[in-house]
Amino acid sequence: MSTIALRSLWKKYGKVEAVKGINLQIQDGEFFCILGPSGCGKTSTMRMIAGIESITAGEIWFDNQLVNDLAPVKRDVAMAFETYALYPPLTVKENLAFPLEARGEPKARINERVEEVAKILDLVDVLDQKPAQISGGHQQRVSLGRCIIRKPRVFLFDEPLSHVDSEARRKMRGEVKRLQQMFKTTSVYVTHDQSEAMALADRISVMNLGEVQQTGTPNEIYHHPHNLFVADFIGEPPFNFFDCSVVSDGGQLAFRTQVGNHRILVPNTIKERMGDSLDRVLRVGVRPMYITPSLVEQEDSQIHGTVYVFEGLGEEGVLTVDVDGSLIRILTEPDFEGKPGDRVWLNVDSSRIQVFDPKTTNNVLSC
Amino acid sequence: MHFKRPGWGKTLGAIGMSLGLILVLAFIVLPLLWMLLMSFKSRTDVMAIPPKIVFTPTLVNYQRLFFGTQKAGYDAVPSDFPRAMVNTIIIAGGATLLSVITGTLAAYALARLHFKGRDFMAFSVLSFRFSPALSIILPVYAIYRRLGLYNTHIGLILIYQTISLPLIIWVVRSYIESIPVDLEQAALVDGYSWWGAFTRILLPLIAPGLAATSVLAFVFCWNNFTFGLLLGAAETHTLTVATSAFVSYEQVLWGVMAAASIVTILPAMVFIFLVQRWLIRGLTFGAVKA
Repeated sequence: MSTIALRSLWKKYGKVEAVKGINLQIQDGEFFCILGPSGCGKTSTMRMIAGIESITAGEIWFDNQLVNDLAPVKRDVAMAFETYALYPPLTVKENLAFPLEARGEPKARINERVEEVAKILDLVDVLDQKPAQISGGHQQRVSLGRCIIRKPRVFLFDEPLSHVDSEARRKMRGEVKRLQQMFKTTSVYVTHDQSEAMALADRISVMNLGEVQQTGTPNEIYHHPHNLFVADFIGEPPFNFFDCSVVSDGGQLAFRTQVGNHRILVPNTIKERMGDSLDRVLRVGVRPMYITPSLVEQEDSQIHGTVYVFEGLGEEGVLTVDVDGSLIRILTEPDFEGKPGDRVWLNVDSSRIQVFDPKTTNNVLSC
Repeated sequence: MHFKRPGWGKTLGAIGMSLGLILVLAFIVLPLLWMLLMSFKSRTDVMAIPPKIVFTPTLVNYQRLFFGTQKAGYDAVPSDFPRAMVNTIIIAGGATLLSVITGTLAAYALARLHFKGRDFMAFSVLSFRFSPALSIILPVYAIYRRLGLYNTHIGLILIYQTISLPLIIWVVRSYIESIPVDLEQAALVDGYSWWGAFTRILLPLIAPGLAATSVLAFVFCWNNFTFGLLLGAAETHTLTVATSAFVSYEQVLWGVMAAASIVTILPAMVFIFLVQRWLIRGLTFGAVKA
């Protein structure tokens, strides 16, 4: 159990800057996700925390101990690798026992722990088999087992679920969360899958190009993204954007889309902040579930377009609407009846909109 | 419906293939067979023209080789062949052992660590194999004379590194590169030191390949002639040199030389047969990356 602090952490590979001076504070017992596309520096960051990658500059603290120069073994972390990194010549049992043996635990204690962990992870039947003989899902659980068999200060998960099929992934996702809550061990989890991060994390840090874009709870990140990158990266289907200028129309402040001249009234809550943005071009974003489509024109319809395609997915539907040449995606009831080419009117819940400055990409409302 | 019978073409192809194999085999095996027969021939049988296929076998050549005694025609002088055998075991064995230890570590560094001039270094090591031994022998001779390494086991073990070290470094390097680095890093996180991860995780995984490569390096060292001849004298002569010594000013002891050759190639052949299976697997193992 430990807090982790990263202070101005840098990683350079030759001239390539993988991590550019990031700062993070991870709480004791927290499940912390580092989320980002491949090459964003998330895995380098985790490897520096584990001690298997050298630190170019900056500091890593566990509680009030500077661990920069500590060997991995002294940091007392456990790590689950993306590739599982199971030792091929050893059986599952020996693989599980490995971290304990490395630390010279007594035989009886090792056996006891192996049995416990095998039970927790449902590995009892494969204990005597070699990693090559068991399924990918089993291998993945052995790799988690090797993590939890000790009681380390920190769990590190490096995309542990990216190589199992989607059904097993959803199941294991729950298992990982259950394990973490059972042990209450500080955990850092690296992933490129936003739904995984949203499902697991107490807090998420979104990274791109070696820099932290935003750190916050899944809710904060989902509803109040700090910039366009975060807004676009989180959520499926992603944010919809309209480039608008702020206009004063008959005394009412409104966003007017650059293409098509659709009008969305600026809600009262942000009126003050938009007042000084008259005639500025801003990018207005709204999540797919905050747009209501209708096949007939309603009094409060702000935007109209034509149905591009509709996918009924059983529990929900995804409607794609062509609005003046750009595609807007909307979550609907699964029984929405619209055929490609039908006229469709949209109502945007303006209290849910986020406004970005297309030049700085920052959220105008939260920054 | 048409069923095509296996055509004549196919049969002819098979026959051609077999003939080819027989030819190649004859080219390789006949001289060995000839040598084997010769080593059991008496002095007169060796010289007989036309060559005798049927003769009374004798062990006289082997006796002369190992004990230096002769029934007739030679004086009883002690043979230096047993000593050459011991020398070769010490030198080839020592050279291989040294190469395995230093070469595996060097291969690890070249495979895993990133440092300036890494590829240049790896290539330099390999380039030892490009030049013929004779091209470096003069300066090496002069240096050895001065350093007192001439005619010593250590000296020969050192110069044999030019044979075995590049082989071991390059082959073992590719084995190491084929093992995911995650395995070692996982061992580090699990609580092993670098050395622990190296010996507990990496070595067992590359062991079959390492063993096969070592045998090959050993055989190359065992078969070397030039260095033993030019950098050693009576005290350090190796088997290959001792064998050639039966060609003397007055006479060529064909029979004894054949016996010596048989004894010399025997260990190499036995080794290769023993590890044949591993050797093929080992040498191709690194080439195909998972």
